[in-house]
Amino acid sequence: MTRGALRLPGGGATACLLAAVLAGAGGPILGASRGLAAQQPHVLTVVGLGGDPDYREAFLDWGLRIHNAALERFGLPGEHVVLLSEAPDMDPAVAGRSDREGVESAVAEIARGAGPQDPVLVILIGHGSYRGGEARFNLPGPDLNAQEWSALLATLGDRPVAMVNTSSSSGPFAEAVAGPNRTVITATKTGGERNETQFARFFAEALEGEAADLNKDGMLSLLEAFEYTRAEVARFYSEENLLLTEHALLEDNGDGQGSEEPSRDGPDGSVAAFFRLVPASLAMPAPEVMADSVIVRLLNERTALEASVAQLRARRAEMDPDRYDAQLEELLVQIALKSREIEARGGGGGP
Amino acid sequence: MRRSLSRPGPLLLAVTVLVAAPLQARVAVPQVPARSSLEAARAHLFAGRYDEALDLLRPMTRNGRGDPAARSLHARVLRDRGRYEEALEVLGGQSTPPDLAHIRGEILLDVGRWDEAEAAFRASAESGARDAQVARLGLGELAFMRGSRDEAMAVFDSFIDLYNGAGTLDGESTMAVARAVTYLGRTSPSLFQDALRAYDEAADKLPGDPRPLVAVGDLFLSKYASPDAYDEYRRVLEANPRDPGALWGRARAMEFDGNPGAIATAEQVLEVNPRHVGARVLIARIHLKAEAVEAATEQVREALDVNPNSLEALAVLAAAQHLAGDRAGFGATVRRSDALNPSYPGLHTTLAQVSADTRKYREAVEFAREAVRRDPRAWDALGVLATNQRRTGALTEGRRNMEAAFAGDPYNPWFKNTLDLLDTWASYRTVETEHFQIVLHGREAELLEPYVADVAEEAFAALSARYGAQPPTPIRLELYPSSADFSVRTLGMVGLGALGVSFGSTLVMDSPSAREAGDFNWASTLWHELAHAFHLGISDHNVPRWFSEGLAVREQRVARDRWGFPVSPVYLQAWHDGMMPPLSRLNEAFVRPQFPQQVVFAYTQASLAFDWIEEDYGFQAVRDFLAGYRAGRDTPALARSILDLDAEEMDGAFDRYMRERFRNELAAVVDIPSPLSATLEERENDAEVAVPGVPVLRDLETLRARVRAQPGAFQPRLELGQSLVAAGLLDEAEEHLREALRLFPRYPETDGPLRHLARIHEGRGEIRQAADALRRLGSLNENAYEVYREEARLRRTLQDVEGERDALVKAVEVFPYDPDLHARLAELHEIAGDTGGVVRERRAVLSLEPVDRAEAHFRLAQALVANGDRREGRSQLLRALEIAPTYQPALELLLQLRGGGS
Repeated sequence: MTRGALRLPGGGATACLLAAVLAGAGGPILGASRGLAAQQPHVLTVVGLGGDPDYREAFLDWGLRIHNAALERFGLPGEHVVLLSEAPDMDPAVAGRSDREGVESAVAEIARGAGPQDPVLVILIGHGSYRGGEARFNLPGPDLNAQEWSALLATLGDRPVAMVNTSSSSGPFAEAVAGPNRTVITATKTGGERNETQFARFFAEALEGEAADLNKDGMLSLLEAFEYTRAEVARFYSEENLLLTEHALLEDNGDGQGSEEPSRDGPDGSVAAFFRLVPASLAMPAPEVMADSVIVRLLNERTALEASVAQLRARRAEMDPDRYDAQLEELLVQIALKSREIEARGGGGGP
Repeated sequence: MRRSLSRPGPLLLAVTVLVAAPLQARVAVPQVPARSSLEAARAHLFAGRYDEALDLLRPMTRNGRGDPAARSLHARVLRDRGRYEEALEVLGGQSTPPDLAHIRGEILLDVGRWDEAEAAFRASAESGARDAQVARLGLGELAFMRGSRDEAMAVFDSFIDLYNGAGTLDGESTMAVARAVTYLGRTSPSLFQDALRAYDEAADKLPGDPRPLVAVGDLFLSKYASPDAYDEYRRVLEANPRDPGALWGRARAMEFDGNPGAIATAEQVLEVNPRHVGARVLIARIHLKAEAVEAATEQVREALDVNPNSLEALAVLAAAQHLAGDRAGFGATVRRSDALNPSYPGLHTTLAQVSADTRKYREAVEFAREAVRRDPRAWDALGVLATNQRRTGALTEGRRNMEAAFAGDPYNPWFKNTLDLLDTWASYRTVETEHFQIVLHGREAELLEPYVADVAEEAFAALSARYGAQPPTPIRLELYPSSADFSVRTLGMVGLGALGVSFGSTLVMDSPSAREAGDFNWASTLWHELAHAFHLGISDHNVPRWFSEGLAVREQRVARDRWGFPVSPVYLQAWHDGMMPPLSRLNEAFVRPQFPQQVVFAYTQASLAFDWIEEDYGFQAVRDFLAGYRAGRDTPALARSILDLDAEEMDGAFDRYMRERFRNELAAVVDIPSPLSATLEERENDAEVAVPGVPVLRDLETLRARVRAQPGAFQPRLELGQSLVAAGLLDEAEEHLREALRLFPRYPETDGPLRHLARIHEGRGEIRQAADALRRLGSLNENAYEVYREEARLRRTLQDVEGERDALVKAVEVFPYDPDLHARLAELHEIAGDTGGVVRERRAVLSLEPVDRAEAHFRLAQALVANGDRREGRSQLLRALEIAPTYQPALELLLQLRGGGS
């Protein structure tokens, strides 16, 4: 495939641009997206107490990888990307200490500075604990338990919020933090899964490269990142001949019951599917391209076709397979032709 | 059954007096003085001091007279020692009084004098003697032995009324109740619990008497609870280590558990009672299982000398005669058994089991069917029938019979395991090919199907061409992702260590996912098992095990040089040291191995025999052997006619072949101590050498000295080389590793010279030499998964497409569950222009459920289109775009397929 000189997001990114006209295609996109989206996403990465040098180093490494991916791959402005750690002097990228006060202060700063619809992604990396029915994320000094985290996130108001707790014993966070406009990902299914987790390592990997872009739309949704991470964690345990001791959950419908296998068709996954991170490379359309009314029309038409595909897919179970495939193929051919037209006008064929 | 109210009366008091001393004797025999000679004699009996007991009893029972209690005890002691005729005399011979007649009846049963036994029981029962109930039970048991089962069951059933209706029963009568209820358990399995309770009650009433405890052990064993049975026998043997009943029970429990000490324990029984029929039959049965027909016959004939009417002994004799091909003798034995009990199922059940043990599964079905015809409630026979029906393809009927068997014997773990496994069959998928029905678990069917189907059909074609004949088709090939399930499918129990089993045209094996990567080569195993199907089919299941196993390994090697059991230094040492039987007796190493490794070595040795036969006589000789087995001829006769060698000559010729072929290797291994003869500690030390990749940390000077002392010995060279590598002295290591390689060029293990040389080369940047060393090692070992992968990595560095492809194909052959490996192989096939190979590998990637399914579907679509399958290509493309509707390369391919491509 050849690309035009200008880089333009594919259908998925455009879906955000045209969210007003597309049923079911809403949701925040995280990325610089200066010309495309008004939302200004914020990413707070909290690296908790390591306990010993190996963990301290590994946790910070994973935190830094996420932090750098937010800055570099997704092009977020520096003031929107905050990394806290137990020892701020370990790396210049660390903005502050990840104790209770530091965390509360960072969240308060986002609450003060973020736009009313700016999405917020909070990622916890470290050890968790679960005792007496209470799940905690271990911080230097006093911990924050799941309910306290939930209360803290409530200070962000109506903003879309996602929390990714990669720690051991993080399962109870799914229920405690769940709520409207919230996506919660936990590395474990229950508080009883106390062993060291690998979730953060592969979540960082999902953010760093293109491998987790499972629907090839050029963007990375939290649902995709979750699916990728879950699969790679399972593969890691299998290759190491270890019993899988962490079973991740995703909760985004607010009922507090996380799903091990969420999907965009629900019950969990439909919000996370549209909680997307847009690589900077896709989010920078040239002004002259967006001024071309034909390209805009073509993009709108292609986006509408994508929505038709989604609708058709939703009816698949009740359709004759041959008829389904025939209709699907017709829609896809139209998408392909639109992409060619867009590319021919210098708008890039797709993601 | 309900417990009756206790009504102490004179009978109970009498029993109490009788058993008081034994109670004390059992607890602490040496310390408690006997209160009378009789009690002292009983104490001696219960402690196994038979001679002392007899010394005390003899004066009390002289001339067939004396106190009945003393005569009863005297007869019991003599009976325990197998002195049945003397025991009968002590009881009074033909003039035995009614109150001792039931004991006479039991002893007469021991020696097969059924009519006299019946008369004795009847005399006791009709006299109203104290132990008349025991005699009544004897009559019931005799009726059962004669096949009058309804009559017998009516007698047994009356014991429930006896128990519920009478007051307190004495110990002997309670024992009789327990025995009767045990028989009733065959129609009402829950009654086994009642039998157990009755035996416990009897044990309370007969303190110190071993019989109730032995009976409880026997009951546990009959319900497959050997640990519980051992506990009961142990309780008896703690008081009397020579108790023949407990020893016999322990021997049977050991046989049940596959413990090789069973024969020795049975022989302990014979030390106490050389005429113990049960022990002789047990030993004979074990010999028969090991196909030692002569030894089995010898034992069973001794048993029949004691009891010519032992149905169990006749069953084993018939089986031995059947195995030996003695049709006249077999017919006579069956007629002899039928004359005693025309509906006895045990003879045909034994025949069925022996037939299955010797791989004659259809014959096993017929024998088991006959057993069930004779006794529809012979649940063991029904189970044997069901098992062998499923082995021979009668799956529906087999399941139905297994369910019926389990309903009749719900304690049977084989039946339960099998039915549990059958419940999982809904998760399996059957794939049909030209000659096979391949049964794969649904979760891996898509992945394995193309590989398994290809290897199966390739093997079928190759073996058909070699043998000029085919087994019955379709061949059912079942692959289980759980070794436990494979084991249950094969034996009904977990724990089978084998990788695959051939029942003829039904092959059952571990799927590659059943074991860790590198544990086994499924394709090689498949080939091996299919070879058995040919051997069994062509010989009509008459081929001996050593022949079929050796030939199957030979077929593996013919198919791929790296397949099959390798010739290891340890094997050659064992062969050289005379630890392996000669060729003419090699079957013994398979059916009764003398040490754990002997079976593995026997596979190797048998396969080498076919190298020799094929090299010296041509493959037609092998075909002639198989035809000869089909005609019912044995190995010595066939060797004479085909090889023109008698057994001794054949052994000598093979011996010369081995010495010539392995002259150099033998020189390098035989002058050092064999690990097999080393102490355990030494072997553990040696074990560290055998762990690939683990540095061997030994004193280098010691190792150097060993090499100086034995410069032509392989093992010291290898160990020194390994240790030098670990110490980083690579140049010196290389010298010794190369010498080790020269001494034993086909050393197959992955800790050997080639692996270390490869690492040394790679460390020096000599990538091609490193890759070549790994390739050479990979050509000697069918399981070297990591070696294949290492070689592939190096070949990739060298941009050696063909070399990398070849290495990865071998890796997939061992363990096909790594998606990265398939993806790379697809790329290599693509470069090589093998479009079919690309499709296969892309399918494999997709079947492994990668997280990026859109990509996997798209890649497969591309491969299919390139391979000319536009229709499925389109379908796969739609699946990709269904997930990722804006996936640009996929959209472009879609337009191409629609004719709009640019």
